[in-house]
Amino acid sequence: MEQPATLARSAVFAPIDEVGRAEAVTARLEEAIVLGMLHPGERLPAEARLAERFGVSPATVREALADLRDRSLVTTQRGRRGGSFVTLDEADRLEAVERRIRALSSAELADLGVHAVAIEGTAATLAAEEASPFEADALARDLASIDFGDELAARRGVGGFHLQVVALSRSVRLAREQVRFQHADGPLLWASLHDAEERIAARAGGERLVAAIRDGDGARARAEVEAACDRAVRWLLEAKRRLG
Amino acid sequence: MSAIDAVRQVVGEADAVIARLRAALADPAIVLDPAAAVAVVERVMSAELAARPVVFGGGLVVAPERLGQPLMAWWQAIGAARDVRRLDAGATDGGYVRSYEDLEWYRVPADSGEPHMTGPYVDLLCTDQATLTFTAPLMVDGAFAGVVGADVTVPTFERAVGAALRSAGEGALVVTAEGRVAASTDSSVLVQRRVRDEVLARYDVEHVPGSRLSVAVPRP
Repeated sequence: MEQPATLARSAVFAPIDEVGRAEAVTARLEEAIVLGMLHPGERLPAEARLAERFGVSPATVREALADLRDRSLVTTQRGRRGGSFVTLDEADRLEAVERRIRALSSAELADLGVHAVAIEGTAATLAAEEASPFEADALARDLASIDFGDELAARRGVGGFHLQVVALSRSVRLAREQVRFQHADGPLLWASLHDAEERIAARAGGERLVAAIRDGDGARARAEVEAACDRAVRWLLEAKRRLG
Repeated sequence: MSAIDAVRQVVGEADAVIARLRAALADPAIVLDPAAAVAVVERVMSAELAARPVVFGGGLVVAPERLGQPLMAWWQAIGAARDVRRLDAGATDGGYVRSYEDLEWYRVPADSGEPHMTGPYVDLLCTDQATLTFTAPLMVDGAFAGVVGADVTVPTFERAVGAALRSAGEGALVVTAEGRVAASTDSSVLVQRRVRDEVLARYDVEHVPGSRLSVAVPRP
């Protein structure tokens, strides 16, 4: 018997066409550029490499890059030193982040924190139980090597630090989920690192988290993750209120 | 086959890859010439990955201080078809992964001069999977020049030793030197977790020669 058509069902069988794929590639790169994962001036990998990484055809990548060029997010230069370069400057980037904060409701911003704690809070508990002294030391070195004086360096470094914490849970699923989360939402969650004061707090919180993991104190490790996420969400909500 | 032999066989496969890499890279001129080193490792790993299905990947990591730049020449057998491809370490998640000099499988052989087994751990750089990584230092002109190594994923390890481990005794485990579980036949003992010494005291623990692994069987 024919099943009733529902939205969820029709989505399952929606054609996976190349048009939709180009949009997906555009969205992924746009997100990374706007949120500062890709630096202004940075050269993107060659078209063939991007196609291989995304698992799409080179034509799809070309279409996505054309779209990004139209929106002045990349420029393309020909020749031996050519390629596609990120062009978004810092002022435009901040404006784009503010647009995103405005576009999301307070409930959605708060939910970002819930999602982050669900992954990393659980991971931190397990990391505290499972990490060897060598691993705890390496985590401390990761944190110590982050330049919290510089916003871009801090954002990248904090992303790496959190991913290492999740890897120490020894859950392959949580690690993959954290990578997905950080690509999609991490930079928004850590938008607070724009403020020097927040960067200082992030470093201190990171140090307390490393200490809890080293001490094998799972409850304290989870509490530190919760506190950091709460603080980041409060900053986003405050920014939203300010931006109106 | 006994559980000891099954574990020894898997470790032997990883060790054989390491031995082949070491032999092929014995000439200092090769290791310190990036193009030559990459070509040699590709040739060795293509043959080794085809011959040894328990090995997921392996290769060479050159000490940056010897070369003036980092070099990772690492090949992996991807998917069920085991397509042999070079690992694209530079493309791993936008700098989220720490440099290999801070990773246990590089750092320990670099500092100790001894072979090492890392894990089981979640390997974000190479396999994206729970992994046992076997590495050994590579010496050039009497000084440390990098590590050669091979990865065996935990799911593959489990498949390789599972049957022999089950017949070794009810609830038998494979544990690492730091007491971490590499394979388990006891549903209450989870793989990758550490078993405390007082728990392990209730097992007969037999070391697998030439490895950092032991087979632990609960005492009746």
